[in-house]
Amino acid sequence: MKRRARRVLPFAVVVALATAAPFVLSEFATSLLAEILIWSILAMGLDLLFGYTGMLSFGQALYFGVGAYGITLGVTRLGWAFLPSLLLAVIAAGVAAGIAGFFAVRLTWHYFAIITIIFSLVLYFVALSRADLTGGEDGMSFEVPPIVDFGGVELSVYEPLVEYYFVLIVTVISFLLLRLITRSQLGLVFRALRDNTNRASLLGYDTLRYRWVSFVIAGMFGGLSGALLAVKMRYASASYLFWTVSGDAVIWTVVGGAGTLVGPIVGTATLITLRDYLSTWFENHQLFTGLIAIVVVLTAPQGIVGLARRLTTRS
Amino acid sequence: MAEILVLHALNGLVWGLITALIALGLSIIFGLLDIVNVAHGDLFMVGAVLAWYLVRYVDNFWLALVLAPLAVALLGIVLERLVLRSIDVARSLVVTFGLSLILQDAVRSTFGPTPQRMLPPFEHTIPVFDFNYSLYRLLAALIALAAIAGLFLYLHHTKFGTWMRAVRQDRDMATAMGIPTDQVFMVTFAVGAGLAALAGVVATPITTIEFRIGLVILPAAFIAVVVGGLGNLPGTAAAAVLLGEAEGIASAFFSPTTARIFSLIFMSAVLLLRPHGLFTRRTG
Amino acid sequence: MSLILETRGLTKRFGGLTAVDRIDFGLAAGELRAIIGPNGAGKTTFFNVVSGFLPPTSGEVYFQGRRITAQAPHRINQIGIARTLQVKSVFNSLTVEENVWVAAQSREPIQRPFRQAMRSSGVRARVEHLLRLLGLDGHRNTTAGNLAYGDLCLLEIAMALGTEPKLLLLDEPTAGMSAAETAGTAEIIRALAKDVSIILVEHDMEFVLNLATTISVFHLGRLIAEGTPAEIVRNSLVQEAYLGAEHA
Repeated sequence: MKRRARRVLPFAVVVALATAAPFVLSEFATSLLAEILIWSILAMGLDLLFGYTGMLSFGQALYFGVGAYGITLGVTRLGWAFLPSLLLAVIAAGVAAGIAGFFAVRLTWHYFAIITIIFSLVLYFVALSRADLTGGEDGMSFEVPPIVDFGGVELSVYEPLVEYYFVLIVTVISFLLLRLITRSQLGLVFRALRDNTNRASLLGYDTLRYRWVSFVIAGMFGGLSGALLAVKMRYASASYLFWTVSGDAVIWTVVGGAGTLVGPIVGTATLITLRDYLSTWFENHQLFTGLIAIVVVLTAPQGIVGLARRLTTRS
Repeated sequence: MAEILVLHALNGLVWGLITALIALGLSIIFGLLDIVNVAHGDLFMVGAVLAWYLVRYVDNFWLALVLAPLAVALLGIVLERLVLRSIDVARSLVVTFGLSLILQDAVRSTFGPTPQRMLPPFEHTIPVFDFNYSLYRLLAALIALAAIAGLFLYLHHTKFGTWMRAVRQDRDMATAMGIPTDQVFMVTFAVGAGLAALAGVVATPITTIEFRIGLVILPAAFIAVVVGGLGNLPGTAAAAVLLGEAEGIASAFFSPTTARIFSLIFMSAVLLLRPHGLFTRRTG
Repeated sequence: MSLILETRGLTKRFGGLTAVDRIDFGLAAGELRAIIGPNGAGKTTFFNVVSGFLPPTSGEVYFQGRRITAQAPHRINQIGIARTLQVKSVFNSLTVEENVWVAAQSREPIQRPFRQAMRSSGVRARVEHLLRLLGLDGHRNTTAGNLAYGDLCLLEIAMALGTEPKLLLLDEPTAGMSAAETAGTAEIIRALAKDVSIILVEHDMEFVLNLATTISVFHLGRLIAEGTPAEIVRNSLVQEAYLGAEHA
């Protein structure tokens, strides 16, 4: 019982702090926190793929973008309500990952990484060329329908508190889901694949199938993240599909600590906060972000969380 | 119609050769140092920016052609010694990504965010069929070709080049044989960086110059490296030219964006069907 | 007499090198067979082809009368063949217990995403049995990457057994082991042979002569002799192969 409490306590504290945040922080800071939460969903999905299954994808931007456009087009073109459009976004991202993954998981290492980049580039250029549909690089803004509009109760993201708590709830649920998966029977298979795909295959596992499953799950969370960002920005653009989005996710995950699930959240929070706070003081915030990423990775290769864990277990 | 095709094919060839320079640099850095250099495109960009400054203040393109790559090669040496020594692949991704951010930001705050253009050192054209093709572009292609040839000559006919190949084959054996691997690493990164910068200088008159052009060209270089076959330098050069030509010819029929899409799909097919590269012979 | 494993004309060429040369091999159910031969005789390549790791250049492989030539390794394992590798290969970041669990749970039809790992009681029983059988019980929480070499060999065997094979291919199971560990492993293998057909590839002659009921001798990719340990020791072709290899 005590052991369980020790694991739940830090989590409960963080959630409590996050819940109290809008009343303690400025509006700008709260909005930033919401953005951090949204991006960390992308990073956590990538962590499942990379940290737990050993597949370094540099193309998660593809599913992020599909999610963003999924909800945007669901609302503007299909006239759907909020939740159905959100579901559409996640499913569309899952389908995209299913198709791309069918091909991609047959490759390993750098080949896998490169093909994920190629796929995301293809969709980026498609989005650019079909500017009539997507708004191209300039993007398209849209009016976000209320989350819930039932029985006289209307919850709309145009209310900052509603938006923030919606994002927080979705992030917490995403974290819990991914945590469940990584600690599950399937998660054990993923970790085995990460360590030694060959051996897993010799033990009777259809490694392509399980790699595909991990890929699709990561893609769905990427799509969820993209959809949420589109909602928050009231806007989707082809830039969401650019490969630097994928690169950012990898950096956040590695700096925070891959294979820990908490690491990506920490990494995302650290680097985005740094970027935003530094940008109010310096023009060159990118430079400092780069410096910090380099320093962390060279001195703490397991990332921030990995370092913290090593320090606490030693004591 | 045929002329338009030839025009696009020529442009594709020019860009393919420029990309080949960048891809070759990327490949030798990866092959010898196990570093995936995400900042490689930014080294190309720095080369272009340096060329712009040199031409602006010294008004000598040819000087820029020599000085800019040297300067970037020196920068490469510094970077290699400071942060990239004995680093594994996964970490190299993050470190070079950080470097990429640093380089872009440094350029953005000194050069400025506004894209600039630069005139070629001469405006002559050469008649090709019914139109006049920029002579400079042909020269650019020739310079790139000469550099590529120079690289191969260096690798195969000089002592140091042979050392580089030995270290690539088997690092431990090379050290055991008395080859100064530390020096080899340094020079390799310098050469790789220098090649990217040379590509940048050569490209300056035919592209816009701004701090983000590295991001645009990096994926193409990576694709050329992988499709050509990791460690297969001639294959990489060929793949880069192939990619350039595929895009060039496709853009005769479609918009440049659509052309890119087609060439990317083509590259995916190559990766899936011949994952060891288009030009590498499968062993075993 | 039913053959559990049979190969006909099995050949594997790598460019100019013929590693396995038209081998007709037959193993009856319940046998404990050893394959011996000088280095480069093709023993591990033979295992690689039979277990689906490499496709043969020509020839066929039959398991329990069923053609399994060139099938994917995971399918061959699901059908009932398990193997250990010459270069020990486990899941380094997982604990010993987790390693064996991964092997044992591979027989489950679905790998559940929402059920906590290492909970299934049926699988747990098998995991416990294997840990005890191979003497790994005390190391269950050790990270596999930190295991002593001898224990690593035993872990490989435990994992292969976890997949409930009918045929076990052991590739140099005692390489690098001490004399005591080797003796212990011999006992384990002898006990296993009661339920599982086994083929061993080994270099340790004494180990093989004491353990195997039948020995097959490979040389330069060909099967040059087969018989009881006593017969093989007296066989002049075998002596020549080993002596020749020594002088080469």
